Amino acid sequence: MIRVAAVGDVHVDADVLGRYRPALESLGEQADVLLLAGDLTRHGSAAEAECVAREFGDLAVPVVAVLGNHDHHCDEPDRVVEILTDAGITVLEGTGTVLTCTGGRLGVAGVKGFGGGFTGRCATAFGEPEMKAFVRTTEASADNLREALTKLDCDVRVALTHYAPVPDTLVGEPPEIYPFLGSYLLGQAVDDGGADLAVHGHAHMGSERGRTPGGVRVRNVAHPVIRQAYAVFHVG
Amino acid sequence: MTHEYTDAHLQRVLAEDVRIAELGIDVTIGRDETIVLSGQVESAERCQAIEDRVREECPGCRIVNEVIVVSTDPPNRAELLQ
Repeated sequence: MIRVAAVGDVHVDADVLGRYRPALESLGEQADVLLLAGDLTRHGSAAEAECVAREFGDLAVPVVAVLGNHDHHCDEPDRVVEILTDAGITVLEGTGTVLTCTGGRLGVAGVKGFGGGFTGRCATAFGEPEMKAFVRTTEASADNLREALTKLDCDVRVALTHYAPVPDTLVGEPPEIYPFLGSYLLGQAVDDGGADLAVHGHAHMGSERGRTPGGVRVRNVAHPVIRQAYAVFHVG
Repeated sequence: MTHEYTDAHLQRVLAEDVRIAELGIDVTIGRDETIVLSGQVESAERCQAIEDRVREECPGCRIVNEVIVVSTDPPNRAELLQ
């Protein structure tokens, strides 16, 4: 059994420094790894990334993250990744990592993901170039997730995204905005890649639990959804 | 501006003004013109900043601020996934 802690949408800036730290001090007793499901910063500035590094760096367990849409707003995601990486946080985008835990080898594959919606009500790569670019961005992200999951050599496989792979965990959000919250293409990649668990954020008003059509458990760990410093899952 | 346009405008301001950058704030305008703000944020300063920004946009309006700060308490249980 592997113990996975996870939270997303922490939106750290100077005003948040120290808020998570008391709960994080005991993390090593509760989990083997901490996953951060994107929207780590308020709007993707280097100064905010430094705050994330201070709040979530130097913990008792490895920290693995993906970026979210907020982390892209300043158009310097590479700088954000560099700052987090320097703090020892592994940032995934179409990549994976394998961690050796007491309970076995944990593989985590991650992408930010993107929108497009869910089966029967989804966007298609047709018409204007902007529309085709929108859908193809998600297609590429899902392909990258599938490939990264497949490459993992591990006992337990986790898919980490910011955008949602299923609509189940969006319940509570207005249905009109589902296409901006996730895509079935990510869910298909989770199923194809043989994940044991998929973790995402982004949907602040969504719900915690869902399942892909292939039966993979999906958990929305957006901070406003879990309403605690992090959630813990015992997997395997 | 009718109410429908005002709440859409305010939601965009709260998202697009980088001093706020909050996409999850619900804005509703009652029949008595009261603006009700709800949602969850990461600090008390952000609750106030959201209200101040809306007041800047709609001076003189009555605002009910129901935005709350999300807990960062540690979890008291783990979910078993087998």
